[in-house]
This record gives sequence, C-alpha cells and structure tokens, in this order.
Amino acid sequence: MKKYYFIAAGGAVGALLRFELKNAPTLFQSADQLINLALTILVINLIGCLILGMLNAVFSKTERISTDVKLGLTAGLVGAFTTYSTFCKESLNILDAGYLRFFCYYVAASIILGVGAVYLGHLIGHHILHPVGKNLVARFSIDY
Amino acid sequence: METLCVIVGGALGSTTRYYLGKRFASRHQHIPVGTFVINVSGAFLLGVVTGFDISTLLYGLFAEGFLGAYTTFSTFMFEDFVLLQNNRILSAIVYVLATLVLSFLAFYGGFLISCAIIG
Repeated sequence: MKKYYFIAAGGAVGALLRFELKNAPTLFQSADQLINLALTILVINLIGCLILGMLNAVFSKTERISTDVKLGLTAGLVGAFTTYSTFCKESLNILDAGYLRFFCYYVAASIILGVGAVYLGHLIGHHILHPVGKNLVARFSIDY
Repeated sequence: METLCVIVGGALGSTTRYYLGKRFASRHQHIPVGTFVINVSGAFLLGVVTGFDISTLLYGLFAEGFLGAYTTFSTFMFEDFVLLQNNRILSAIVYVLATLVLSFLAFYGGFLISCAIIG
C-alpha cells in the first residue's frame, strides 16, 4: 500500500512538470501552434524515455534504494511526465490540419527516437552511472 | 487552480496505471498487454473528453492530469526496447503498430461518440 503513496506523489510532480513545460511559450517558434505543441510533446516524451532507460538500468542493480522510492520515480514521476494520450491527440490534430507528411514523420520520429532514447539511457545507466555487475538484459516486469 | 487540478489528476492517473498494469502483467508475458490496454483506453477517453466542450479546470483534471498521467509514452518505448533486446523483432514491430493504429482509431471513435451525444 505504501508504494501507492510514492507513485501518487511522483505522478503529481510528473504531471505538473509536463503541464508547465507544455505551456512554456518559447520552446518552439514555428508559425503554426499545432506544430509547436506537437514538437514540445515529442521533447517531453524523449526526455522521459532517456531518464526511464537510465533509472531502470541503475535500479535493477542496486538494493540501496527502497522499492517504494524506485517505483515513485519510474512508475510515478517519469510515467506521468510522459504521455501517450496527448501524443495521440496532437498527431491527429496535425493530420486533421492537412499536414500528412509531417504527421508521418512525426509519428515515425517519436517511435524511433523514443526507443533510441531508452537505449541511450540504458547504456548510460549501465556503463557510467552504476557500472557494477554485468550488463543485464532488461525485462518487462521490473519489481526491483 | 488549474495547476492543482493537474496535480490531483496526475496522482490519480499514475496510481490507476500502476494498479491496472500489475493486474494485466502477471498473465501475459509475450506482449506487454497492460500498457497496450492502458494507452488505447486512455486515447479513447481523451477523444471523448475532447468532444465535450468542458471547462478549463475539468480539462486540466481529466485530460492534462488524469489521462496524461494514466497513459505513458516512456513505458511503451521501454517495453519495445525490451522486446528488441530479446531479439523479438516481430513482436516489437507488431506491438508498436497495434498500439498506434488502435489508439488513433480509439481516439477518433471516442471523439465521434461524444459529438453524437452533444448533437
């Protein structure tokens, strides 16, 4: 039960950070607000992917941090910071506005760069942040 | 005030995701069904919310807060990375394509439903 408080706290902070970043007016300055918003969501999601790759790599090898704190940071903070539903909405808004080519590039870039960011984070976590033990193959169900 | 709504929604959304993800994860090992169901259902609900013309505060609570935190992009990508790392290339491609196609359709379907309700 205690872990749910940590996940809720992390989720509250993650959602707030995403909301504030999303409304930051100066991140992208193309003429079309739809494109600016979509690119901001992409940046938010890529930052989250990088951090999740790093945290999962480090957390899978250390016992010194409690499971509650680990889950609060991964399932809570990073999970709530990144978002799939808004990604979906903004992609369809772009398509609806008639930017078919940008829509295709945007969705493809989100996936390819997203997996790439996780991989980069995984490498940083295993080899730089916590270079102890062997390079574990990642698993789905991370219970730490 | 809108910020407070986002915070409350974010806390509820992330715990709901973790709870449901756990419920699904134990029974399916080959494809990460939990995140798949969460992201597709979250897209559907955001479609519904978008169709209704609700106030900024309610949108902050349900859409930016709850659904934003309930759905997740980072875990989606992490799971795809795990599939690739385990040489399950076909599963990785199917997982991504199925999530994308079904969630886009689900969002659109939810949007149409709420538009039909409003009339």
